[in-house]
Amino acid sequence: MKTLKTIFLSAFILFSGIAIAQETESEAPVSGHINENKFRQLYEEFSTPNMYRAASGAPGSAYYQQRADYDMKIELDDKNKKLYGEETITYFNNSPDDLEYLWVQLDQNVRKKDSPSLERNGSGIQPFDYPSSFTNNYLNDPFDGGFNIEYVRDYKGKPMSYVINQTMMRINLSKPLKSGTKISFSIKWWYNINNHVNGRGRSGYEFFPKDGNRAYVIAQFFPRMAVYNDVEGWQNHQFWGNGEFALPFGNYDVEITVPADHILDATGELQNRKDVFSKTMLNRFEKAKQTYDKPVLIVTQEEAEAAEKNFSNQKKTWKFYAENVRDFGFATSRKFIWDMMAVKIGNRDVMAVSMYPKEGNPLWEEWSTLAVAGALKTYSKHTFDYPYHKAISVHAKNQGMEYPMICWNYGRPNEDGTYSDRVKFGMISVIIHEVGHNFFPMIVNSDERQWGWMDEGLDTFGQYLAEQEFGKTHPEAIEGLDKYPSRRGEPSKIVRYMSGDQSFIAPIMSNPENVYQLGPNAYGKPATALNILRETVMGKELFDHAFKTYSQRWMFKHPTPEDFFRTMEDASAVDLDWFWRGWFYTTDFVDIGVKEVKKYYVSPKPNKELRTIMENRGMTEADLPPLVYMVEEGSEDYDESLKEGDLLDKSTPLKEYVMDNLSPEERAQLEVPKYFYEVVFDKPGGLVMPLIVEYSYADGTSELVKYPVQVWRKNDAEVKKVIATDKEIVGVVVDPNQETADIDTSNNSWPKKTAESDFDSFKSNTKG
Amino acid sequence: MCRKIKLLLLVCALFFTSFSNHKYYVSTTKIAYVSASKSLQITLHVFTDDMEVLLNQRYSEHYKLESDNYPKQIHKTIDKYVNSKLKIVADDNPLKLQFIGKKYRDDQVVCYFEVEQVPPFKKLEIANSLLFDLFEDQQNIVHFVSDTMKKSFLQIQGNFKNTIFI
Repeated sequence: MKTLKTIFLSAFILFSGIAIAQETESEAPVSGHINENKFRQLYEEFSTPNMYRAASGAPGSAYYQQRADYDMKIELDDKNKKLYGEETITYFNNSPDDLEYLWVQLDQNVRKKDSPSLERNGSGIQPFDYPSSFTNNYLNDPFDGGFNIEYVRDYKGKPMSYVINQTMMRINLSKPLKSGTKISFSIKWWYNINNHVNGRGRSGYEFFPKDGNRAYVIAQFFPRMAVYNDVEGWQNHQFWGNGEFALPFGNYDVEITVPADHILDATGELQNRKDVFSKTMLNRFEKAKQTYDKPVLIVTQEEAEAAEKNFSNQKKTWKFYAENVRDFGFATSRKFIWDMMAVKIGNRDVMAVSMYPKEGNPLWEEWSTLAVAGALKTYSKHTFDYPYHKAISVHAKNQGMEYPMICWNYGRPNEDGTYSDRVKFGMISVIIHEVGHNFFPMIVNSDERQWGWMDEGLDTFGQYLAEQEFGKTHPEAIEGLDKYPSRRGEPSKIVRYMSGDQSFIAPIMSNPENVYQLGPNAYGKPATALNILRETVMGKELFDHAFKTYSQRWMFKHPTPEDFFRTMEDASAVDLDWFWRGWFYTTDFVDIGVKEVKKYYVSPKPNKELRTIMENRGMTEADLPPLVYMVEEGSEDYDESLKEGDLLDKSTPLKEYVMDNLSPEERAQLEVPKYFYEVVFDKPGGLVMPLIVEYSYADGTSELVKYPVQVWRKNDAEVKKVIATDKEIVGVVVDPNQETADIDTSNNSWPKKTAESDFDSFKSNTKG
Repeated sequence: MCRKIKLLLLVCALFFTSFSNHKYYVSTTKIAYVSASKSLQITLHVFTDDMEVLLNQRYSEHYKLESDNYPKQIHKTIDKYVNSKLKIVADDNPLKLQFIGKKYRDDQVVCYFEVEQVPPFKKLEIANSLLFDLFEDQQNIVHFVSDTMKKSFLQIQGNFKNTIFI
């Protein structure tokens, strides 16, 4: 009965407190609202799981994907900068649907004279213009690019009807392609190759005026099947320039004919090495296959320089076969130096390969192949063993771009061969990044046309891990530094973007064509988010297992963002809806601070707040059950004597409770705190994050406490924590190790630190 | 506003490749007025390679910025250039920026300028045409901060003057 009374009383006190507060506010009814809690589940954003894509984030029991095999004969006309091709596509309809037509991608058409992509942006007359841009805009005859389609024929050689809409070609079928059947058809085409240095293209040539040669890096050069799947139907969103590619897997049989003195490498296994390699090259290649520590030159700089002068009229055909790839690229030139070495991945050997003109040296011979090998090792560790037999890094001025097994990378020394650290690390980083793209999206084949971050973000995250590991395994590369200087990945590096002008920031979950700053949006922010997830939210063990699960579930398949989000939760039992929502669906930022710290003591008497409540209800102390009273230091009820003596002596109800309920032995072991603190944390930022706090004590010790992110679930603005301790707290710091990308750290400390601004600290260092 | 977005889109159009290098031309200038010390503190972030090309082209030099081979000359050249392109006028008084120094952070060079003894002002005009002589699509983001206000602008070719009233 007594207990019951106590409950009533406490409830009464609690409620009356609320009642008092309410009386002072206006009586106007507050209108209702929908669920805006930061922790609500992502049901509204996610589609309903189904037989194709399971709620666990794995491929569903009815998951399917299409397949496109290519048989191609390609010829390069180096003198006239033209590329010719004849291809036969065999398309397997594995979907449950009958298809009335097929969509084929004509990416080169983005360079057509009348391409709408040239007009996709607004323009305006400026009061003045630069002669160069004036010429480009108004005087120049634009480059005559784009595919010239000579024919589209069915397997009997009969013309097929087709319609071209910008970069997409619809092939009309006389009767639908039934589910479970395949179709073969052929396309003959040619196009003028662009200069990728001037036009900032992903594919094309660089011209070297000193020796009159070109180095070609050729990609999206042939009509390619679009993806048909359960989420997009046909993915035939036009190629406008930013949104990259969505491609089905298949096998490629490709013959490429180039001038006989060219050196060439491509996606796939070289089928006629004996026809295209000299005896010396074959011997060196055999040696490279056995060499694991440093690259072996297949073509030396001396040989490449000699070849530059030839301009052979003869031709040579290189034959490649690639299994289970989503695309095909190649690079060819007289100028190429070529080196290779073997890398152990699991129990297989993979060849790490580099091709570069002499203009890349001495940088490229030193670092390129080692960077390729480093990337393969780290990515394999975090995903799956690299399944292809080689990975090639080709030097192309000013661009980094990825294709299966082959990628183009920048990083060119000065003409005298010197280079700065910036050029060196830029080059190692871009090689790691582009080789990493073999994993995302070449193998974990996400839809780049729709989601730039799914490959760029995951890859930039992998790049950070690989760079850090490269710094550890190659200390000579980072001499003078304590770790590899990664540009992206660390939380502090994304602060400037996330604290920027909101009018120019888009959520990560945006189409790459429509964002303002693609670099931080699709690369930096998602990579940082994953890094924070790994190091601060989930912990390395849970994260690594989940990330690997995602990679292996979707290896050689087509995942969507939801498949990634769901898998990360499904494999770890960490509820992450709040994280995906905040970091990926909004442009909110982290700003968490410590607002105030109050110190309390146990007192024999109720404080003023409680006395007011009692008065209002006509109660005396005798009406209250036995209670322990707290008084704030410095308040009117506080006096210095509360600090002294035994805490139990300050509160008769407490002492009686202890005497009644604990044995003398238990009483002897009681840990009685001396200080009671109420710490108020506030959150000006929109993102919720785990609350990481460092408490420093008067005795010089400190303690790092991590409160789960859930502390914010019922109050998004501020949260209080009580610390009972026998040591005096002298400092409270939120996120002391800068793990959360907190954009404003001026509110992170108690007592408030007037942190020296970056400007002041620079100035005082300069003077000192 | 509409114009700004158009220009931004134009800049985005230049993102053609899946590079991890920067290919957009942006600088950030933070101008802070510290009333306690009556000092106007200016922090400039410019991509190091842009600055290097600019100095070498404009002044026919052969600097390699990060190697810092000619520290004094580089210091003087940057001082001269920034003072000719970043114009700040407080209550109709043009201010001369004192170059304190620079440091390299990642791929950017951070330059620190200061104007001391600036009495509180009602009006501040900022015209930032840094690097416009090199890149037609250069954008300069300007943040102004004082004890009482925060303001940001995007300055571009043909539209690079803003006035703040306090």
